[in-house]
Amino acid sequence: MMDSPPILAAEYVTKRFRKDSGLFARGEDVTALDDVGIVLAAGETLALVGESGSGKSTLARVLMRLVRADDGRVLFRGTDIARLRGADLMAFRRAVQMVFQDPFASLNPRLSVGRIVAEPLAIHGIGDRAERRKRVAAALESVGLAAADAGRAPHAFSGGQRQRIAIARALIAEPEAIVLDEPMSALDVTVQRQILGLLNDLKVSHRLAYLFITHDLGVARALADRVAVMHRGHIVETGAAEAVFGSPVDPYTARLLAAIPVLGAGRRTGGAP
Amino acid sequence: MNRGLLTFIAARVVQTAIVLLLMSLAVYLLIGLMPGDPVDLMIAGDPRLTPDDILRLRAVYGLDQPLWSRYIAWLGAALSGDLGASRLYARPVLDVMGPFFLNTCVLMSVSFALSVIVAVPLGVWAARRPGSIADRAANAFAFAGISMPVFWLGLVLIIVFSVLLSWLPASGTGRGGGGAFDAVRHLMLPVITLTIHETGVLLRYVRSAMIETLRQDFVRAIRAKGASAGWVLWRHALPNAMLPVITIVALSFGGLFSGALVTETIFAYPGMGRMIYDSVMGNDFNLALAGLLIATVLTLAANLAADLLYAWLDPRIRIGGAR
Amino acid sequence: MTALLSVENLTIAFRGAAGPAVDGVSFALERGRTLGLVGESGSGKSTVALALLRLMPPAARMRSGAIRFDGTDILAASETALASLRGRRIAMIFQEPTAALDPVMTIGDQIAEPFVIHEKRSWREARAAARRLLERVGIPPERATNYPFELSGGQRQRAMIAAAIALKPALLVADEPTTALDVTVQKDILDLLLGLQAEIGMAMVFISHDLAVVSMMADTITVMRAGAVVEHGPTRDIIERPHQPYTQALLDAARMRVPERMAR
Repeated sequence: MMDSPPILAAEYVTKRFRKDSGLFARGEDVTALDDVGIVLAAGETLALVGESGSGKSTLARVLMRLVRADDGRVLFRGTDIARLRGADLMAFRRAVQMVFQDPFASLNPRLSVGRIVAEPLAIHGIGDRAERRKRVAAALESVGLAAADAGRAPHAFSGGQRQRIAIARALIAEPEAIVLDEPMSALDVTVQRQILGLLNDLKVSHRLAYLFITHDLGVARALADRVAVMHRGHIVETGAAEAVFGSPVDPYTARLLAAIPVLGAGRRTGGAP
Repeated sequence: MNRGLLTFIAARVVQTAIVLLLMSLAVYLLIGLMPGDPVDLMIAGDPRLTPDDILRLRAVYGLDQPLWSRYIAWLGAALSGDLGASRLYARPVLDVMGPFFLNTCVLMSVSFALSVIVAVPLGVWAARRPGSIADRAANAFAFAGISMPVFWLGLVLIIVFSVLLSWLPASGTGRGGGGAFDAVRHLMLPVITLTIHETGVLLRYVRSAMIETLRQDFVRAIRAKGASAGWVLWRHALPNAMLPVITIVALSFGGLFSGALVTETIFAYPGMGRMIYDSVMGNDFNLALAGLLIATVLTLAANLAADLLYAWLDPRIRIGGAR
Repeated sequence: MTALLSVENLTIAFRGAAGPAVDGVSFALERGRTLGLVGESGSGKSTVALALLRLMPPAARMRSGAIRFDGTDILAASETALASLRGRRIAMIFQEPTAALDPVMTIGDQIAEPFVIHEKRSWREARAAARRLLERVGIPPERATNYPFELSGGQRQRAMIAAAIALKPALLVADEPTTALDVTVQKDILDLLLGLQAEIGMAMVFISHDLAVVSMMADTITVMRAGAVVEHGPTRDIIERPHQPYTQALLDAARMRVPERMAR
């Protein structure tokens, strides 16, 4: 048990949405999150695994205070984030950063890479112009890009490189935790491996906690200390990664694991030999 | 009819009523603020009127009252169904409006129908191969139609077809003795004037909606099923493309009306447009108001119809609840 | 035995692009077999797929090569001849079912469509046949009157498959059919495809970036990169004894995805 309170903790979080209603019809309520509770301790990587509609992205948004829960609360270092104001709120925003799924949509195409990466510094009022330039250069180099890339525009970079830029942006304000919402789904498989390696290295060098949201169990396993499996707004299983993957308790987890395509040798059933 | 639909329509009706109220106030003020009043016109027409006569006339027409109290009086009467009498025609307003309204309806509906019949196939055809000669010709035609001011086009057509060639009459409706054929002859130039403009506008919308739709991935998937180009065009692309087009067409209804107004003036065609014009110039408050209010109601009704039509045609809105 | 499908030295370039999108690609496919086409984005695999039905975008230019399907020269055939083949003897399913179905037509009608187009059946007959097909792919037939947006992603994909196999084609081209689906849904769709293939006896070109998925579906695998074929061979050989480093890289990436020590 840690001495300091966990970085993020969700307790009994519930979130409902009104489904898209037609012009003349009324929408029904959808429960995106139902009594959900998770804990992210300092320095640990928690993978939030689920299929579409499981509520994992909604949970991420609730944890980041981008969406307000209908019930329950989220604690940042023991304080209810809904109560944060002013300097405390800014401290929270600085401590918990986010990397998004689509590397093409998450970078402002009209700004230079340098300005994109420097933005958190500008928002939190860190450093002067010269200081920021140094930090941007350092951040870019730590993600495997060159300091000179700061002057270029986002569209000059590939998907994988853009995701590196997004990671640099998340790192620059020296956060304690990064929430990554499917950061690799839009990338080619070979690139995924590289980014995975990068994230692993950064985790150690910057002493970060990760909340890693993904539908891909292989990726989760490669990076995570602990895993939480979500299904239809519920957390069905939580535990150490090895335990969950090795001997899952919940039948849904087992089904999920069984559905993963295995690198077999030849066709499974049917068809002429 | 479900509750949602009723609520929707009811809300629209309330909105319309509010718009009408504000419109009537604005129009009344604008006419009232014009220099001169009906009595001045009478003085200009009859120099024998004495100052006493003038005072008496002003009292009779209520023109000695301030503007706002005259408006309240009008509003009160209007809300109980009495739109008053037209000063110019010395008859109840609704009697006067009837024939004018009919004439404008004929002009507008014929123009609208013709422009749809021409623009839709032409727009579909032009969209099949953007940039081709056919497409560029259609585009040129559309731009010509949009750019030519209605009044200019009307005058040109009069010069060519009435003055130089003497084929078609330049004005009037040809009612009263001419028969159906003569009525059609009188309609031709005003209709052509209005239609050319409308067709140009509509053609551009249909073409761009079709091009946009044909670019969608599902079009390729349907061709992968072995559908011919024509099958894809008419059974899949057009139904999808028409959805936004319908909305735009309804919104342009107001423009069609004002175009009709100008056209009627040029051709001395006795429709609502001319009636409103004459009544404003002649300071005939009651008639002008009644005419403008009807025009407003029709435009708003067209918008409502467009919304309902769109909602009915697009299953995503009709049924709702996308997954 | 002559191959059902043979692609010889296919080269396709896009107007305005630097290099060819497809560069000298060749492969062959026997009746009833499955060819897996594997590559990442920009490999040209989707362009090859579209070329098989000659449905490439207007900016594409066929530079050289030949595509022969059951005796027909695809590249030289008339549009009418091709339209007769598409949907009847060669069918295609796509990655995004949302982008493959007409949003304002019911799924029942869209599945019935091939019957009306090719066999000139009446819509009533066609719709009845469509309902039977819906059942075969695991969708309750009552849903024939639903529109695509009313179905889940997996159901839309099933509907698309139903329309594709309606006339029992000899060849099905599947362009990343499960990439956009959840992993549990993916498993069901792949099983469905295998079952249908056995029933109908159709050949399949299965395109994906996921070597693991392809290895489950294909008899032979062709690996593509930047428009060219990198390696080609029976699935077992490719998986166990790859020659090229790029193939190895893809294998490593695929292996990473499998949690070891899975419960058996």
